[in-house]
Amino acid sequence: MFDETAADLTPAHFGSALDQLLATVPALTGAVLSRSDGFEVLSRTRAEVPVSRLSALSSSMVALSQAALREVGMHGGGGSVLVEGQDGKLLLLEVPLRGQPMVLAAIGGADLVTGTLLWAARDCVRQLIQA
Amino acid sequence: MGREYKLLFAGPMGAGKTTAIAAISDAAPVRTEALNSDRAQHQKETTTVGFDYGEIALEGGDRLRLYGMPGQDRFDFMWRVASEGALGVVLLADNSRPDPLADLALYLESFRGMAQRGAMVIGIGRLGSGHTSVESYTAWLSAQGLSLPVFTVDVRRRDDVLLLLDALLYQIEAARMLAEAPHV
Amino acid sequence: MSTHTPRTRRITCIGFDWRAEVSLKETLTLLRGKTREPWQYTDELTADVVVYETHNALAQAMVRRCAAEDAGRVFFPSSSEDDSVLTLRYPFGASRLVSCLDSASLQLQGRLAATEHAEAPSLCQRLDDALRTPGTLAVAIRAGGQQGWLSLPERELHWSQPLGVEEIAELLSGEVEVEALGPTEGAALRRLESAARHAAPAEGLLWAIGIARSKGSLLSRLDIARPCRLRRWPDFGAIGRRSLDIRCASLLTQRELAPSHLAMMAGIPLGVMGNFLNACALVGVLETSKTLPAAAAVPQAATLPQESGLGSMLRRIRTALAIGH
Ligand SMILES: Nc1nc2c(ncn2[C@@H]2O[C@H](COP(=O)(O)OP(=O)(O)OP(=O)(O)O)[C@@H](O)[C@H]2O)c(=O)[nH]1
Ligand SMILES: [Mg+2]
Repeated sequence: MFDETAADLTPAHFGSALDQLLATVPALTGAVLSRSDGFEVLSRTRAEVPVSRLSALSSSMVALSQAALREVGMHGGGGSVLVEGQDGKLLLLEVPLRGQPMVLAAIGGADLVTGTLLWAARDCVRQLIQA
Repeated sequence: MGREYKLLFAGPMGAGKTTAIAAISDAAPVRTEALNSDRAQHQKETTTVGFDYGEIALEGGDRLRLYGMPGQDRFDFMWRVASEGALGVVLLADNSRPDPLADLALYLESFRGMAQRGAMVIGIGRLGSGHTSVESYTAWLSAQGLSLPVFTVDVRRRDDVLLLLDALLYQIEAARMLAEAPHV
Repeated sequence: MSTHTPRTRRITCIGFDWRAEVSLKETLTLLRGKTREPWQYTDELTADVVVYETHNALAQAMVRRCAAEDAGRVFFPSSSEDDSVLTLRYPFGASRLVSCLDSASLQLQGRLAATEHAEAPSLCQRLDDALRTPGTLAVAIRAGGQQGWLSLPERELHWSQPLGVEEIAELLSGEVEVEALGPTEGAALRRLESAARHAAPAEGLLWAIGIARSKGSLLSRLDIARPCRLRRWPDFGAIGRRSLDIRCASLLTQRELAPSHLAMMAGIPLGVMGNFLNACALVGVLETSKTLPAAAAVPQAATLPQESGLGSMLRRIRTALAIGH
């Protein structure tokens, strides 16, 4: 798997996918890619972001929302969670990588348009999962 | 609307929190397992990243809610959120881990309020796979000024989980009774 | 597990209103089977137990005369300045009465044993004596064809065969010999070491002996009036789950209490409590206070009202899980 200490094992296209996400959406503060059990894999940030805390939280929130969907009889795969507050937004997307599911977290300020964020982040996920 | 009472299950990764809740919950618990990518920590396939949730229906429409915490301390935010209003906590130790007393220290610190009011019970799993004796656990607790129930258990057995709950309930009750009785 | 058939004890009360007499008779009927020994009411002052109204001068005088004549009798005043004295006040509460009657049984039996040596000491008593004999290195235990030994001070147990349910049953029901081995019995010790090599959990066995082989008597070194506490929890994971034991342990690990008070708080007859205390002592977790309580406050039977929020919730959780009473 992807060992923290062996960042070079992270496929190169992960880095470029995240770079492109931040380039496409200038209002983004940062993007964090984590394994589904909450370990950070890679991050790109424009400001101070508590990356490892956010990784753990992202995996919890995605797992809880999947569980909620399952409870109401809906399949929970490939989903997203959007959290909005006064000061900004947090979007979590499942990254259904075979063998090692991941979570993409994207954070931005209040001026970030939700539609733009969703569209760009989904595109990023598409790039991440192509081999 | 019935009242809700909450019990927590905490302890290190792989100690058996998810297993314990599944053993006593009325219906299959809600799970939030993710693929375990840290096989150096534990060999098992999945690990809890949100929480486990089980319930036990009580007479009169009330409910006992059981929350299994994620074991890894990266998820300690979940421990804090869940501790709120909890009646007590079942702390599971895994004696096969490198330093089970250091594990205990971490969870005791995180659930200190409950430990101090006696609302905690400790179950030691896999006793034979480690070198720490039951007496070491109790001596360590005494040194912290705590005299909590410590039992060797295998949480795959429902009866062992019931032992932990039984003791936890008596602990809560005794603390309340003694608080009301004058000191001798 | 006592081997003698219980005699019927007699109780009387003096100096009370007639209503107290009637109430005592009725309560005794209700308590049939709930006390260590059977009890019946009598009008005679030769009864084993005399309950007297402290504020009645005549009653006091009669009690003084009786006490002077015959020591083999137990008196309960209706009130006392000394809080360590068990009192019985009208209206007589059932659990309070049970505690008093059981306490009286133990006292009466103790006196009998002291004067007549009517019964050989229990296995629990013999084992406790052996474990506490100064200089003991090991205690040899023989039951039927099996033998084993407990090493001191660790109290590790070794047995001649794997100690399964059958072996434990033999130990708990048959003739058992116990012998303390000191430094001069080195040869015997070595023989045991080579004959009994199977390590076995000692706590479960010692506990079972305390519960099942105490002959209904408190160990002679224990005293129902002397406060005690538990140094740590016995490992009920290894011993087995009995709600009564857990209930008592949760009180005694949190507060030092006299057994008579513990019995009241836990709502458990003193005789049953005696076995629990013996088991704790044998396992080595019981610590007794050096001093008797000096006119300390007696915790009243502070059982949680069944339908108080907490009491009701705990009861319903137990019901739902089918644990506890
Ligand atoms: N051999 C042995 N296995 C045990 C014992 N107790 C639990 N297990 C096993 O250990 C595993 C525990 O896994 P979980 O119940 O997922 O552990 P958890 O505490 O929820 O772990 P996290 O959620 O990852 O923190 C299960 O496979 C159990 O069957 C024990 O006493 N002995
Ligand atoms: Mg789990």
